[in-house]
Amino acid sequence: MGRGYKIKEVFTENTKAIIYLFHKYPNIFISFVINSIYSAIIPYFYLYLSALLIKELSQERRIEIILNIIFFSLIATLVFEVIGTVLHHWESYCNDMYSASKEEIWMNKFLELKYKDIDSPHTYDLLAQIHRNESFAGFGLSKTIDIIKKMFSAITKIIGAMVLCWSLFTIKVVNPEFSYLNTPIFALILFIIMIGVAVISPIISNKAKSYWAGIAGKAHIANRLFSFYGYLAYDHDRALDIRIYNQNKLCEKSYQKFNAFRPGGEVANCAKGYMGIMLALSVAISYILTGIVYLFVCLKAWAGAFGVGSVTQYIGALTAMSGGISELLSVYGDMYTNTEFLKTVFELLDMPIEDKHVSWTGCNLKDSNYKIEFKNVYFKYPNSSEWVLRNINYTIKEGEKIAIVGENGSGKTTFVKLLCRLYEPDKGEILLNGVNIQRYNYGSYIAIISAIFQDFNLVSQPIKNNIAASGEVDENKVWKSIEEVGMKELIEELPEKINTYLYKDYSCDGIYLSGGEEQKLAISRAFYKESRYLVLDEPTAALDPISESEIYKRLYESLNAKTMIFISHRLSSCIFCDEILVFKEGEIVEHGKHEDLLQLGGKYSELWNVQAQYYVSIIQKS
Amino acid sequence: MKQKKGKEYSVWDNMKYIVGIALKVQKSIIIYCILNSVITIILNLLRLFIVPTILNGMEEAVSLPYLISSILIFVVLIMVFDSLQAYINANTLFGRIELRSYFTFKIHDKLATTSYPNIEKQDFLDKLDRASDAVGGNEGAISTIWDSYTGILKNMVGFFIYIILLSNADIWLIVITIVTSLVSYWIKRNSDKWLYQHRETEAEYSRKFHYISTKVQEISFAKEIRIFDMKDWLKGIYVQDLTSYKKFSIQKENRYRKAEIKKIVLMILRNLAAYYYIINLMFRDNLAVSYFLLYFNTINGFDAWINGILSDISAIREQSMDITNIREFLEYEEIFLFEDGDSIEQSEKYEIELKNVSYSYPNMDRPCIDHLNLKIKAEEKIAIVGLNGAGKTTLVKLICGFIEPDSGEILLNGKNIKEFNRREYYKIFSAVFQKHSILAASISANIAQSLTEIDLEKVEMCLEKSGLYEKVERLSEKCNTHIGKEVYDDAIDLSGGEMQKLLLARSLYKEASIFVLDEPTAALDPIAESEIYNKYNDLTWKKTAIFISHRLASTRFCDKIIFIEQGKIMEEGKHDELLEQRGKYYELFHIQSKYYQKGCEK
Repeated sequence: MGRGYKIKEVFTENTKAIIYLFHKYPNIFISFVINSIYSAIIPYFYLYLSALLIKELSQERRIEIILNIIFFSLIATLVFEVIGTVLHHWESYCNDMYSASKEEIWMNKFLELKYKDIDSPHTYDLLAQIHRNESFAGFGLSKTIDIIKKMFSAITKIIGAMVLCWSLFTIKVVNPEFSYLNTPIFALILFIIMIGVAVISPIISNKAKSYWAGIAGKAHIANRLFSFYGYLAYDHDRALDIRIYNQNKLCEKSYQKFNAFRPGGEVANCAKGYMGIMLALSVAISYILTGIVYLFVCLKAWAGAFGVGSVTQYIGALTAMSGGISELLSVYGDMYTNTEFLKTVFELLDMPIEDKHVSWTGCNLKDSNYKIEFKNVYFKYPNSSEWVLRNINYTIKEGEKIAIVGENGSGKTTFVKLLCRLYEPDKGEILLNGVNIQRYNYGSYIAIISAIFQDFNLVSQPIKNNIAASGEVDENKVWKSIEEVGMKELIEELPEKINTYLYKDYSCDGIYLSGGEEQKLAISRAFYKESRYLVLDEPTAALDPISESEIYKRLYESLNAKTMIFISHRLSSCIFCDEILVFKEGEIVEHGKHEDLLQLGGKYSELWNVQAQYYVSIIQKS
Repeated sequence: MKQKKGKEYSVWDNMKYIVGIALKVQKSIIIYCILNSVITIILNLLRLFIVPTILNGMEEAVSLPYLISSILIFVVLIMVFDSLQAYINANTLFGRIELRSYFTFKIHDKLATTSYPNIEKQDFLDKLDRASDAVGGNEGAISTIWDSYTGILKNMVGFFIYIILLSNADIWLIVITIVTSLVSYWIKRNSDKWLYQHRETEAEYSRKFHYISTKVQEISFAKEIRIFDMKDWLKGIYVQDLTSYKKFSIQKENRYRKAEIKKIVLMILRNLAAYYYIINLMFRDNLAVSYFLLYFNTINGFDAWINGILSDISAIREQSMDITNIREFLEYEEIFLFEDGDSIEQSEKYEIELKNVSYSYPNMDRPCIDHLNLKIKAEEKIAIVGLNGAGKTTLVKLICGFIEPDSGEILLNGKNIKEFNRREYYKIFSAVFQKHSILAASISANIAQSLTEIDLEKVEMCLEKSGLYEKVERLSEKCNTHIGKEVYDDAIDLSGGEMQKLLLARSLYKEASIFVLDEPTAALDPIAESEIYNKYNDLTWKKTAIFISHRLASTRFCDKIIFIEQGKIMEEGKHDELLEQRGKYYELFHIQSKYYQKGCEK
């Protein structure tokens, strides 16, 4: 928990959030402000009207005046309430819109962030914190919305009450016995007590509440464990293991162990003692003011300064004013608590986005003869001291079919990530036709490369959009791409064909595909994109060997002049390649054609022999 | 989504049920409910009388000390009760959280242990959704129903007290107040009904928003988003849904606004009547102005009690439906026998036999497993091979007792597994499935599958056998290193290959009689894979082992290879025998091996 923020810091962060929201959602913002002001001011009109009526009833009781007041009250009520309802539902609508679009903020941010930032645990943690704070008690930007509403309402209440109470202090008591009530000191004392109570009461309750927020808002390991073990079985993929390994027993224990909010737990005990008493105390203190207001107003009335009608008006207005002051102070308390959470929010929101300003395209990327060159490239992941890639020197020539092999963790995937410009080399450079790839505009650079990774994703959207990776689809091209990966028959059998949704998240008619079929769909994206370079990072692991060799055969045939780079553990798919790069501990230790590498008797031949032994010995036997 | 009428449980039944559980789990919930109601009523009465009493005092010119002391008494009483209320409010939450956790756990436990076929049924999953909704968060019925119970208690008592207060007034005034309250409640109900019917629509929107934004925030997706430039597409999906949600929300608010305006008109009519009667009364009986205030406020308050009662009733009915949902889920029918089943005799030797077993997935025209016969003797090492979609994983699910054959039977030592306690049946298996459940816990806890009882020596032995030992030794926390980033900030990431080794170590630790390994080496590099193969017989020594693979040659070390295609056993025997048969297996083997052959010939 952030302790000890300076007032200036609190205001800077909160103002930043308010301005951010105003820019992002101006209409919603305005609706909240207007509503807060309106609903704070209307009660004063009612108070005034009812005081008028009581005044008349308590004094002269002129029937026509009474009827006039009642008639006017009824009309005013009708008008105020109708306007209020209209405003209220406008606000409700804006509330809906805000909660529907608040997730969009993070989604859009993640679409724009640099990949290396997304891949960093710190970013992931920030995001997790933001979501957790938001879902716990709406801390963060949603709290700012509350603050805006409360702030305008409080200020309106205070101003309104001042107007209605003005005469309380100006009207003089006639009775000489009570003339001391006329001195401004009384008004001053009243005012000081009002401020005092209004300050102390929310300070105490904020203190009590912040203790609560402190416990819950903190990223308590216990909380996380609770939500992990409490919802384990909701993940369908875990179902088999849970049953075989009896994991529900573990969950049961965790329920008792990790729930911080149990009776007898830390928070509950605090509520019984310190926190509960503080909250009660803060309520009690506010009644000191109520008592004094009643006494002062009644004394003055008793002394004959005004009638009973005014008594109700002043008491009502003063009570509302102290409510307004408390509200204003609790707004400050909220702002204070929220500062910490807003800092997290803005740390993520202020992260740099992918640089769009690099517009230099170097040469005409459309028709040149490509050559990508790795020159003395070194790379390590942020916050790690280990070089993942070391002194990589290699030139990828246009049209080559290149396989990358090596043991797990030898740097194969990282090599591909650098090629896709997801990361930048720490040392050395990668050149496209002699120009550092960082100098190209990302869009025009990545247009020449398609990459399919092992952990590819499909979205619960129509098949055709998944293939085109876009909202606008060239259906002919989709069909062609599907055919290339051997999925045409399957998709033609579907009633909705390429318009069929994947999964059930978006449409209950959505379908599930097998792991192998999903991979084929992901690969078809590359065919649709028609880029010159095709990178495949073990995309066929879930496929059986027949499908795999079919896909590779098709790839070889259809790619022709295109460049293909793939990572595979099945060396049988490498033998047709023009080049095989063998990675070991971050370096390219061997490269060349299959036969040459076998003859070399190095790492490659070791890997090959391990896999081939089963097949080869038997073939020779049979 | 259609709600099944909860005909079995009435509102009354559910109240008995939930109060009964509350009494068992956390009595304070009920005590706080009663306290809260009593204090609310006391406060309400104090507030009702304070201003009229003061006004009355002034009108009748009581003595100053009397006036001051009556003000002080009122203020102090309000102060005491309101503070008490604040204290109680600060404490009510915990009992409710406990009750909620109790149900969260019950639901989770049911989900985690229910017969596996249930979790593939839409009906079961729908019920799960509804039950979780009813429990989830502070807004779930399981928490809010207590507010409704508190509400109905205090509103009823308040209603009767106010009737007594109004007994002086004209009976018509009471009638008019009750009637206008009823009518405006009815108006509100109609518009609520609309929302209730469209609740599913609204939930669907929020599911969609959540789905797409969560999907985009997945780290693995970030690569493709950039490489295939999916940004505009994904943004577009959100914007499109937002636009249609906008229309929905406007429609909703318009409906509410219309209802609200009707209610305002009713309120004006009621006020008109109230003014008329009270002013009449005042002139007739020449009452003091304080009575006007008292009566007028009483009528307003009376209206609030009636409204409170009505809306509590409908809230309770709705929440009761949610409680029915919870009960329906918790009492969902089990397909398998658990505690009622026969227990399995402890033995080292289990023989499993599939007799004429068929199984087909719903909505599929051809059976996935088709009249299959298979006998797995104790300590036998068999391999099940076949291409994608041949039915390998389904066969494994049948053997492990996750799904029931449509026809035919599965026997354990000659007895149909249906008759056994299914939980005990699971105990005889050690398995590595393609989809797994790794816990947010230390490496050793993941292997031992316990957070507390861990045999460290055995853990290390299993790590060594599975080939992960070296990696673990290199970690600073060794076996105690955490996995699971969602919980532990210091958790490490395991690569796909390391994960498979960990899963293998876990299955070794369990030391069950039958090993089931479903493609346990798909993510391993060739050397690691080959190591596992070489050690395979050692790893599964004295155990029955079932190895599933789509790589034909990888299974040569097994006693028997079963080649399946379209849910049928096409060929079985040792690898060499199958090759000699020159059948389907031979054919496929050749396709797979020709590359290696060529490579070597060259």
